[in-house]
Amino acid sequence: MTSFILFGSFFLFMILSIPIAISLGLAGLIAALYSPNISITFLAQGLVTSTDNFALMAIPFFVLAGEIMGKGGISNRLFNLANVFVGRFTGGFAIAAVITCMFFSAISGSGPATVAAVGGIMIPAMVAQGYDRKFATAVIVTAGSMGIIIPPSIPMVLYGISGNQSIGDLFMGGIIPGILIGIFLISWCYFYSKKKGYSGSGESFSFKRMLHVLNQAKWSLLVPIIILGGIYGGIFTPTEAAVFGVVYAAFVSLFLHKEVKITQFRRIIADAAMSSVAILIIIGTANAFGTILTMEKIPQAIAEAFLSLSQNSIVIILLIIIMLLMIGCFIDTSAAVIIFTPILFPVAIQLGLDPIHFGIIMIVTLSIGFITPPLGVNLFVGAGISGLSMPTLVRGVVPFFFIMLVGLTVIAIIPQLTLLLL
Amino acid sequence: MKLIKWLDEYLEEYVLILLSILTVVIVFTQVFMRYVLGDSLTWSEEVARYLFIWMIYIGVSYGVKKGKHLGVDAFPMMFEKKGKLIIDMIATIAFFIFAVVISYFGLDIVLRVTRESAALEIPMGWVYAAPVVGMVLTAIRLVQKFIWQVKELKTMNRANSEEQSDIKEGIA
Repeated sequence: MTSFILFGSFFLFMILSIPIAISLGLAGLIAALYSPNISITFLAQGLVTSTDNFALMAIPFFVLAGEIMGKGGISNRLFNLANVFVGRFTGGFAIAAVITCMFFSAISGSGPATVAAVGGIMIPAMVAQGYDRKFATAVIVTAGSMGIIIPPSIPMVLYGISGNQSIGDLFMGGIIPGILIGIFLISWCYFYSKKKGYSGSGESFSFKRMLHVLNQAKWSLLVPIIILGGIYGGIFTPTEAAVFGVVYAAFVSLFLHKEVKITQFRRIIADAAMSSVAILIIIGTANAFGTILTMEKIPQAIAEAFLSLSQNSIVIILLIIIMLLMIGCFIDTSAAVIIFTPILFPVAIQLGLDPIHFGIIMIVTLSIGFITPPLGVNLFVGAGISGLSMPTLVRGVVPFFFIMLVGLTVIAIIPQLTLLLL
Repeated sequence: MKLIKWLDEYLEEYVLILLSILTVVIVFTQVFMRYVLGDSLTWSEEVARYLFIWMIYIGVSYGVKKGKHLGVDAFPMMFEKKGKLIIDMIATIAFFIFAVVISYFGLDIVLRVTRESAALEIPMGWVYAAPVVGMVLTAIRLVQKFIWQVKELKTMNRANSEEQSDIKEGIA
């Protein structure tokens, strides 16, 4: 009964457009008034105990590092590099844009931040090359979803903490699935461009030009090597790696690329802190919510409900994926990971799924939520940059939605793709 | 008066920036000490975590000021301007109730807690004060927001009644 009140009031508050974090907190308050097992003091304490976690600090640092890099002229350097290799082929500009998003995803842990950093430069550039504005924007908003699949990734940090899994392993697990989705997107760009007659630049490959752009992009390319290498080599914890990323990004953009002025840092730091806090506060208030669910054995009940529907693990995963796709339409990706990992993780374990593989499935599924209306954050960012209306952009994104679904299916069916690098 | 105006404009922003920079410097120093000087710091992680908690709860207030909290606005989108505003006002009141309740119970914890932190032996009250201070600031921001919303509603009503009297005059 308590969980019924908990869920019911949570959904009611959320529908009334009360922030997710506060909806969770208020639902906890109401449950505390109703149930003798939980007190408001416990809820207030949870705000501190659940956020008193060094691993969680990776989030503000990765956000800040990504935010500095995004302003520091990295996107165009990465794009020039990709363009040297693929620019001359059919659809070369679109393909280079996807590759730029992949590179940037290896620097940033957020989807919308990737769209903002790459799209601001790439969408106008693609339109200038004669690409349809709708297609150009749809490519970038979809490719931006890789921001959370290719490490580092904020939702992976959240999943790792919630499910007690190694964040480093999750990061490694995301590499091949991320590249796979990139390849699918590139293939679609190629076929679409062929149909529409978007030819390449026609320039022949120049080794000298390649060396030139490689030299310009070298400081940016080092970031994923330092962060992933550092974590996997046991040199840093993910949090320390993220801090190293911040200091490195600040150094490169201030002194080497010289594209960010020190005075801009006030805005960058304040904005980055705000985007982190918007996620972190949810962890604080979700704590009481999660405790009540555990006390009432809701995860077990849900696991049993799933298992009573079918004994076939593929059917159950399919059900979970459909559920998460629907959730992703309405709730922010990180918030969904915080709220639903404690509920779905036990189900996955009971099914005998690898916890890292399940985490990747969950994150890839929720990353599709970035491009599904009504709440698709990448759509908002993309529409803001390109000036397209929301319905037009949504129509443009439809084929990409299906490509993402194909990618997701492959990743879900073949666990080796995730587990190969572990 | 000038001071209040400045605080209203910048308080949370500058605190957030300061805390962000401090945590970066502290954690970076921790790595630097361990690898370059071969000497691990005992206090750095703890201090960074506590500053981080302060950052979160001061940030809640900043989020109200900037309208940056994550929410689901599919339902209010179905309404006209006035309906949207009224739903927003209900949300503001609900948020305010949460902020006040947490401030009250949080303060109770701050006053009662006697533990000290593991490494630096900081009284834990300083850490538990973060949500209290954050929620009090948040409550103030919500009052500001509510006043603004009431004003907005009044202008809307006035515009509406003027429109209606125009129509009536037209009929007459």
